[in-house]
Amino acid sequence: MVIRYLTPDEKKNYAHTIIGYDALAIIVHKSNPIKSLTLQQLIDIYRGKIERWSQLGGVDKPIILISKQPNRGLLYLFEKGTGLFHPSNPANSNPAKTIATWAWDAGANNNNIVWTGGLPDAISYISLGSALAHIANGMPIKIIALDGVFPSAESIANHSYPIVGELSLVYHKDDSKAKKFIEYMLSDTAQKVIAKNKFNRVDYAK
Amino acid sequence: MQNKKFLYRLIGVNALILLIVFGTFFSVFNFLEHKLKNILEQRQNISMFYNSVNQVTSHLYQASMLDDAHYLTSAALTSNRALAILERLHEDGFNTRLLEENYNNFFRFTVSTTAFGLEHRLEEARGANEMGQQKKQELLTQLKEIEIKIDDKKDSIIALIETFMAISAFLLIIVVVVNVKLISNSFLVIRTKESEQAEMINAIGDGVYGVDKLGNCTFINHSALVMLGFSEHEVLNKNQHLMFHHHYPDGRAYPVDKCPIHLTVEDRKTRRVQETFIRKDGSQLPVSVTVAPLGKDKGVVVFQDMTTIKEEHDTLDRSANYDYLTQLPNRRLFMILAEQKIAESKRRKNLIAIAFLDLDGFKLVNDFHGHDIGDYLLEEVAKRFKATLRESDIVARFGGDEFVVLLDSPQSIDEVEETLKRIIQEISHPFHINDLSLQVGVSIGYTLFPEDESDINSLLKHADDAMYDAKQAGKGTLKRFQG
Repeated sequence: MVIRYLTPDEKKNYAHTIIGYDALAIIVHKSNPIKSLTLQQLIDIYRGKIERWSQLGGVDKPIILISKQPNRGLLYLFEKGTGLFHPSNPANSNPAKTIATWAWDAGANNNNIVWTGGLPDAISYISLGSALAHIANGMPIKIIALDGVFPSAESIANHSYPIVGELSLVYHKDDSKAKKFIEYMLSDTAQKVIAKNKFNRVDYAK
Repeated sequence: MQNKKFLYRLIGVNALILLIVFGTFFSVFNFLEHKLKNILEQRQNISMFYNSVNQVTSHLYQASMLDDAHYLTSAALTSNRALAILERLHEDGFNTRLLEENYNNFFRFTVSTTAFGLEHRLEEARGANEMGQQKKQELLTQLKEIEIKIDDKKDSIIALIETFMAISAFLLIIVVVVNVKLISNSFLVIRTKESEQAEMINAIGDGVYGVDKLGNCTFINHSALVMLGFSEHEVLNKNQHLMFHHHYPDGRAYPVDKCPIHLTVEDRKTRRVQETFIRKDGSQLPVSVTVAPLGKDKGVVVFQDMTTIKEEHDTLDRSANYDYLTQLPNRRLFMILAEQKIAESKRRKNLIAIAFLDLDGFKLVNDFHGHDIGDYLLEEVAKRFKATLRESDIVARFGGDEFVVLLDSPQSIDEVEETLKRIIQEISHPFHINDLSLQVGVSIGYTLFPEDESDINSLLKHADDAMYDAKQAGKGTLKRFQG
């Protein structure tokens, strides 16, 4: 299952089916006074133009930037949403569009979340579903609004939240077992499970 | 007085010194103690931070082993605590930014180790773990440095407190020593003054003693003891009123509530009285006493022995008014007494007879037997005159063998004549002195008042004239003045 968009090659070799939607949530430590960022501010933070929280009205300490390792699905979604590129991404030729080199590259989602929850000066992006699950577990993080909109089922469905990703299942075109699983995943029973795990159903808007 | 002022000043200065020295000590000590407490808190924070670091590691380890997201939350919360401790240390003036950066890196790699582990990406997990361990070592080295700094600070503050306490103790000792010295000096001066005063009181010739409100003797000087015949221990703290009791000049005892000493102690007014003390041997001591209030409720008694003065006074009185040989009033006293009698007689309208008596043959006795015998004879004559006359009559010696008699309120001329004739008769008996039998006579002239209404000088003159007539008429006769 991927959240990123498939490359043309992948599309040629594999079949894929969207089984739900997720948003790229921006998270900071719970004690951080910042409640909202504009997309531009987020871009400026990640390209290293804004380095300290005090520049945004917060404490006078450096921002701990948390990003993702290359080949992580959320990094693709973030790159698409912000127009920035990971420093090692060969597609980028514009230094002004590079994610700051000092950003910490996280592997799994847990990594982003524990770093952000453990370090009060951190900022990270993460799948809304994961963020909500950890917040429910008591992790000291909070989701901030982007361009004044909090990520939610509604804001994902009506596209008012700027960075939304599709949850796709990728499979061999002639795999009949996979096709059966797809059918199951699109069934109401499976879609309920998706919703229960804080992701949006494919048919949420309807 | 000077010393009292000095003591008051000393007390004031002491209070000031104690206030300044110990006020300063107290606030500095408080300040240092606060500092020390702060440092101990910092020391505790360091170990709490160290614990937090270890806890973060163990929570993450548990998370990876048990695949339980709750341990991730615990790790994050523990990390928050560790950073909060660093923030406190930073507020206390330690530069913890480098330490914080190191901690962040430690946390970064330790979390990564877990995250890779959970994804079974063991190669990456191992790499992250190595980095994490390295960062942890750096962190511990830095912590050690801060600990050493804190310990140095602690040691210097403890040394400061100890120095300060030593200085304070030293100052206290100096203050105490100087005080003891000054106070003892001052007491020495007071004692010297007191003993000098006591010596002065002892040296005074007058008797001096003190009484408290119960009438007990509080002190007594040497002169008083000598005059009264007591020794000091017999008198001190005893009731002086009972011991040498106060008496009126005639020897009667005062009741306590009339005692001038008691009254002065009560009403705090100075009194001067003449009275009589009783010596230890029971004899009377006439004294002139001054009682003055002493202190708040005591009194001081100063007295002089009046014995000598009284005797001298009496002697002077006698020699001025009495004939030293016969002890009869002299002319001077007679004139005073006679004038009183005349004044009395005028008021009472009674008679007075003034008689002039001159011995017959006395010159012969004197010449023949000598002055001693003559004097003795005069004494005996005087005795016979007195024996013949009443108490209220007056007989005086005017000099040589001349006597004057005043008969007080006789009833009649007959009575006068009878009395005077009896005198002539008494004197006519021989006087026996040693083995001698001496014979003298007396010639008397007299005049009567108020029949002879003259002043005393004229009356005497008239009596003298009459006596002269009597001498002319033959010795041993009586003549009345014929106006």
